Amino acid sequence: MSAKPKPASATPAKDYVRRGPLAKLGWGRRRHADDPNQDPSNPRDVVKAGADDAGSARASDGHAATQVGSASDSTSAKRPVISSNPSMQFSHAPGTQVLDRYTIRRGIGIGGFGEVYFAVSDGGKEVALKQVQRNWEVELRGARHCLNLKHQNLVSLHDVAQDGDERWWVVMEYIAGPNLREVLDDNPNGLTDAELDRWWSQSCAGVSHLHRSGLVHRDIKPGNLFDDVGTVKVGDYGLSKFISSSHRGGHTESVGTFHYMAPEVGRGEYGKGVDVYALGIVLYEMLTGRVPFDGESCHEIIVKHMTAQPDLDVIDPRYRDLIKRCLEKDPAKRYADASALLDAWKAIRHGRKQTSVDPRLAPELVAGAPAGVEFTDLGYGPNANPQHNTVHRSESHPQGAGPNQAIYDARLVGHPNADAPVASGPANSPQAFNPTGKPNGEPVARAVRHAAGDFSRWWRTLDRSPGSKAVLIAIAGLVVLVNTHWLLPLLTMLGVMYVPYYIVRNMVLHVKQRPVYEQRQRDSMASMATRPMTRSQWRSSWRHTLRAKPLATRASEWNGSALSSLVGVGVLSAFAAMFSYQSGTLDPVRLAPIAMMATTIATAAVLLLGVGKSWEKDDSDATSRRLAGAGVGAIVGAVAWSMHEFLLLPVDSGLARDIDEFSPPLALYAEDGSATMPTMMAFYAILFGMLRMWRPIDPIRRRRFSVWPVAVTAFAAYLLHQFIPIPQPGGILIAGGISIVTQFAAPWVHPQSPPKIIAPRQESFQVVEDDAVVHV
Amino acid sequence: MNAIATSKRTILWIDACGGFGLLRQPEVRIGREGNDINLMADVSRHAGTLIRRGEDWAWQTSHSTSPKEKRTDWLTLPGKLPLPNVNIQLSQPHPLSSTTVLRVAPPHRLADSLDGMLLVGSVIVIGPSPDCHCVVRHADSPLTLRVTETGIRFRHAGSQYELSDDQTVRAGWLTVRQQTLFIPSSP
Repeated sequence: MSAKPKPASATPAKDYVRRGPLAKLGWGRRRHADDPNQDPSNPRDVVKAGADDAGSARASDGHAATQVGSASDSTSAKRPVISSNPSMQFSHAPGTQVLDRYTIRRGIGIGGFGEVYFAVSDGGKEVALKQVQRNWEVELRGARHCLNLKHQNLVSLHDVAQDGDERWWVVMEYIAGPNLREVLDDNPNGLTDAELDRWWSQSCAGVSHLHRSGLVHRDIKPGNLFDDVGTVKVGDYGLSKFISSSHRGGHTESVGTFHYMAPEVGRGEYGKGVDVYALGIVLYEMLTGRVPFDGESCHEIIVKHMTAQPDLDVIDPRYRDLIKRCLEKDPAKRYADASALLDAWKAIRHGRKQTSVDPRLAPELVAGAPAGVEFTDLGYGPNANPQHNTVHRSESHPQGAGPNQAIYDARLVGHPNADAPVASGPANSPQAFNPTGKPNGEPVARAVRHAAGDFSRWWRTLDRSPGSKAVLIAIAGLVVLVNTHWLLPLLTMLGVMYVPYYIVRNMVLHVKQRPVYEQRQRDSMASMATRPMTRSQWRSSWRHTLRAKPLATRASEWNGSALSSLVGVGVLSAFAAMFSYQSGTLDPVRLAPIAMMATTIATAAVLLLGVGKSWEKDDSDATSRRLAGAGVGAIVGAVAWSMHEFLLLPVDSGLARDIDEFSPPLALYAEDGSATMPTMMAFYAILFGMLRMWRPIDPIRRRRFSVWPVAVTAFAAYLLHQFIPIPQPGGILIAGGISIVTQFAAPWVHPQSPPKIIAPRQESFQVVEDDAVVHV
Repeated sequence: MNAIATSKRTILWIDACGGFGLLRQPEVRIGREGNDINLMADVSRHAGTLIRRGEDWAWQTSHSTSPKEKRTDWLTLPGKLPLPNVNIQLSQPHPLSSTTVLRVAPPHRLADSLDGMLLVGSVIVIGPSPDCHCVVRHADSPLTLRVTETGIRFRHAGSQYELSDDQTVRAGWLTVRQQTLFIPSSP
């Protein structure tokens, strides 16, 4: 084997004290750490982590850390906040009990899809718990599909369960041994021949079982290969769907590694060749200690994946052809699947000549099929049903599974030809790869296309005879012909407007265009928010998003809502003025009540929308909200009374009630029975405190506008008037107007809108490299 | 009613690292159950005792016949305990600390889901390099935990922290929880 390069980042342990951070602190001068005379509070006596890590120090949730002192260390050389090694902060502290029967002992790792914990059941069973934090529906579907896979080289999935907070957890086999990433980090020059054979052949066997079961792993990397007391096990096969987290070397822990990603992933192709490619990369790394395509940035790595050829001179000549074939840019030129790869590996190891027969049809592969799996059913063998793949998908996943179905279906490959991307569906075209569900393309054209599609569907389902349809077509044609004199100029004008718009739009998009891989990845990240959710999950996710909103954003939104409410009040006032005008002359006497109501409604709307910005953060208790609402009502009542006084409107009229069994609280009224400011304040305070005023202004209410709250508010005002009469019909109209205006002005999230954030940690997609953060 | 004798066992659960039992006494009994270090292995109930002499360790086998038959062997670190059916490795990875790490090679395990035992001198070094007692790969610099009679303290980023029972402390890259178990002592 050729000489193996030594990574520059490797620091021999024996040199660590001499050249490492300990040396900077005097440890190289034989200062003994166990010396009881040394004071931990003395920065000269203690290994100062702070010298290299300026990350925040905080107590965990619900666990108070005893902070004895806070001695500033002037000698500490602070690093930037964004360290090259981002801290691994888990959401759940050790000791937390989840799923009613598992107690988390410690965190194991954080991946792109969730956090993995080591937990022990009440009965003492050790398990790994993975909290699926994103893309949960596809994750869980994949996990459920793999729940009953059994193979000695696959990590067992025990169960999928939901905790009390509707978080999904995957209960997995816990493996105490290291993963290949850690092993490679400990062996920077590569593995020994025996270890190489053990890791590689068993990894291939595990992936081969997945492939024979109709699954594609799609996230093969050293971090997903585990050593379980000598047995290598492939993990995360039910969880990894798109490019996920990985540890790449001791110096970088990034979300979204590209080192093991096949070129065709950028085109949305997820065949078995993706796993073969990744296995080739892993083999290369096991042999040399480094990956074949590395770079300073993700873009550089991507370009190398797509264009560069691996340096095979450093590879043992026995494995060059195998790796070369694994790393072919064209997936069709690679080994068909992991079984073929394993077969080739065994042939090399045992000195046999590789067979040129298509390994997918090799009888030994059929013989090696897992129990209960018919190879013909999976599309293998001479009697394979070429339509099987389609049938399998259509049966397992009926219509309406959403745009992400294609991703999942791409993993359920069965037909030999399905090694290439899934043929059915739009996944072959980059434009059609759209896991977000977000429509692609130019919006006007899309609207026209949708309208044409809707019309086509309507036409097809139109219950008319062919003759009737022909008549309808003839009439429509005639109408078009008759109106040509204005239709043609209109269409011409629209075309003239559309062409510059189209050109400018494309120019702008071109400037903003990112590489295809990034786009794909960004789409994948965004797709987590578009999975179909239950109503409560959707609300919870959006509530989380609203809670994370900065104060400045809230203020800005309040400003916008307030302006909208003023516009709404203006529109209502205009309607009221028109109504008054129709019933007579429009003089100041008729306008004064309208001005009073408009001012009162506007005041109430602005105040309620402002308070609502704090209400949207959570679903806190109703009592405090009712109290706040009552306070707002008191202010509104004061404004209403003031406007009555300012505009010289009578406050002793309109006090008649439909019931007279109850005497109104006389203390609130003047001696002549007219309403006073306390009357108005009490009326609106009780009205606002009685009603759940936060409902109509909640951004995640069901509908933007509903008549029901308006009716309820007006009726409540009418009822309240029976006990605390105020001048009418102003009171009831104001109550209804407030409900109308606030609903229109309050922000609203469409129920089909995906939450922008599901978990704060994954809010932005980051690639952390050498103290630099690239937000994708 | 006679009170049941119990011993206190302190465990550190370190995120992305492992669970480690802490022992400060100079003599550590090893066996299957009811000892300071409990093994899930085919060993006798009390296989032997580790004895600390300064920074060195000796292994005293346990025979039920007579105390005179007890043999004491000085251990060379890093090294293995002379037990036939289980591979127990002792090491002092950090050259400047007498804290000793005891690990059990697969397929055997330590009880209580532990990954290792720390026979503490006075400090524990947690960090990214192999010479740390507890290796946290994503850490960017070592942290030193000082173990005293009163508790465990460490400094991070200019602040000093103290661990106490059933509390989780997060400081930079380190998340550690101290758990105390009270277990019946062997007769």
